[in-house]
Amino acid sequence: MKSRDLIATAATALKANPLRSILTTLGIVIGCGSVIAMAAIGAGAEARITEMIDRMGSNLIMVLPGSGISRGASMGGESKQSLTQRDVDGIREEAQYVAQISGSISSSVQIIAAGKNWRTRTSGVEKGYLAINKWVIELGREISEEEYALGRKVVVLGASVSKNIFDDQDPIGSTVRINRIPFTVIGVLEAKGQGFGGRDLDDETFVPLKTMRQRLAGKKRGRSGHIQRMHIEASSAETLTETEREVEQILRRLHEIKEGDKDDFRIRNLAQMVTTRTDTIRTMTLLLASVAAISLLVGGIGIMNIMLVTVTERTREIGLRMALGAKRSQIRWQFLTESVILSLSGGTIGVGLGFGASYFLQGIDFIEIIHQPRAIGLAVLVSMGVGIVFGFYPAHRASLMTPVEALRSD
Amino acid sequence: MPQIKLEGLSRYYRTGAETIKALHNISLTIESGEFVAIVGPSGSGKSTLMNIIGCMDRSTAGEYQINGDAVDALSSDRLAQIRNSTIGFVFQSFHLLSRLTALRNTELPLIYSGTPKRERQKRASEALEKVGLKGRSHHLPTQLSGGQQQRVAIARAMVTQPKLLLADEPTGALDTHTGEEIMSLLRELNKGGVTVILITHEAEVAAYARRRLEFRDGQLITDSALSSQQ
Ligand SMILES: Nc1ncnc2c1ncn2[C@@H]1O[C@H](COP(=O)(O)OP(=O)(O)OP(=O)(O)O)[C@@H](O)[C@H]1O
Ligand SMILES: [Mg+2]
Repeated sequence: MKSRDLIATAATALKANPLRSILTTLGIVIGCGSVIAMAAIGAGAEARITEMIDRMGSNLIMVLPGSGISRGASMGGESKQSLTQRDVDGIREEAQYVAQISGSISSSVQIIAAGKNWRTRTSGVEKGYLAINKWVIELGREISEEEYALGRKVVVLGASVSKNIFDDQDPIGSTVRINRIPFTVIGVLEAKGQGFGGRDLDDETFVPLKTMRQRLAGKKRGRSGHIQRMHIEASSAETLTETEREVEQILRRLHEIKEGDKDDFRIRNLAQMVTTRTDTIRTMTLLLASVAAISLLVGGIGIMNIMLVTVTERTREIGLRMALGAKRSQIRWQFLTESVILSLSGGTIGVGLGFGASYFLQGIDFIEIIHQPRAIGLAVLVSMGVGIVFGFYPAHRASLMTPVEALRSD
Repeated sequence: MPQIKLEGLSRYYRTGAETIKALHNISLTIESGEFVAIVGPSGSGKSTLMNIIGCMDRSTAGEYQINGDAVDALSSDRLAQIRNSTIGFVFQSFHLLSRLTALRNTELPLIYSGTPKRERQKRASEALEKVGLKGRSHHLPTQLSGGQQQRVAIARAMVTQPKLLLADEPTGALDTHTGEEIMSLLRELNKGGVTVILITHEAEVAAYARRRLEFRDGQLITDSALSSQQ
């Protein structure tokens, strides 16, 4: 018996009950659809990570204050002010692997100019900060060494801030009031676009760290010499680990931490940080994977169920085919072909719906979609496998019938 | 060598504590080219015998040889092959597949013998033509009369050109006139060299045969030659 005849026979049988055939494949449809969507979301997330690292520099290291666990009570992320200007200067002096370093203090501010009012974030930074974080000046210039040293009231605006306050006008030289204090706009940054979670990376402003301390940070924070974080550029991506270790050693010495005691600061490189941010997407992918697995299982059981019904309904046909010379193996193949065609067509519809769903998901902010044609192959293989696994038992049962008994049944 | 040889053949059914002797100690031979009618009251074991001769069922005791092969020793695949190429079946209730056209019903045995599609269609058309259904190839069974359906079944039985035709009450579901048409068809086939074994309740139908086997309670009670009257 040729495979073409098997397929033709199976197709005729399935066409006799079109609605039933379609309903049976529903589980497979959903399962394969999820596989396609999952692959697209996974690939999108991966691409986003790579892009993010490229955009922010793969040899960026951040140092944050320790998580501040004292006597078992967490004091929250940055509540413990363990990092100081002295630490930054110390690393700048001693570290071999550090190319550039900058401390920073950030705070939420109100900017008023040209009759507009904008709430944004301002960061006091040191020389090198913009370069470390891959910021590029689009208009005007960077903060000069003198302005850093003397704590001048100058500000560099992120693209979104400039756009929101000045629209398309050239803001260079204008005065803006940050928390009521007048600052001169000296530069505007090139746009970076969206970060994870749809956050606007360009909704930022930068002033010299010294200015920040004296004018914007508030008395206590400003005077204390504490900083919020350090941004370090390792001399190369290859020596990232060495750089982290070196920074850790210097800070431990400066903080007089005894051997065996825990660090009171945290060192993170960008790759680690970005990975944490992708957890949401990972959860989503996992969810889709479980949906896929459960649907395929349910779909498989559905196929097995309907095939058992079919075999029972068509007992007389089986008997007749045997009387006409069908071997047991040919009967088994006939029903196996039917279940595989059933699950494969479900898989095909599922692939279509999966791509459709991916397009729909693309509309959601934090999800990036990259269609994966390779997933089609996977979905097709999986649906075929389901058809074989769950179709085998019914087909085997059909093949075990004896011709007389099968023919006699009604 | 006789085409069919039964020796001390029995077929018992066990239902609970009871044992039904559907066939008991049957011995007979049928030569190639014979036209045999099997008669007897309902429940006398006629169909049971036919199923065993047709290699669809196995005996409980005794021996059955077809063309010299002991059927008991054959594998189920080999039996399927014998049913496919050596035996043709015609049933009282036609047993056509309702989803398939007359042509595709007729083709079925050829699918299992692995005949290529073109050849299959050619031979099925020829078989349908022989039973006088040339113009009905693409009709579904529901679009055919009972007599026409039984002709399709005969075309299907003959499409592999078997040497033995088994018919279990082929006219049982047909009126007298249509029954006669079917019987003339079978007689034609027999004249062409095919052994025909048929089960019937009707004396007129049995009269077509040249040998009559009468069964009662699972036993062969008379085996008589008939003078062919028609
Ligand atoms: N599968 C079975 N299980 C139990 N008993 C059976 C089975 N098949 C047949 N029998 C019994 O065997 C006996 C012979 O049955 P068979 O079908 O051969 O009769 P028959 O001569 O063909 O009758 P009819 O003329 O009504 O078709 C009957 O008593 C029947 O009840
Ligand atoms: Mg009977």
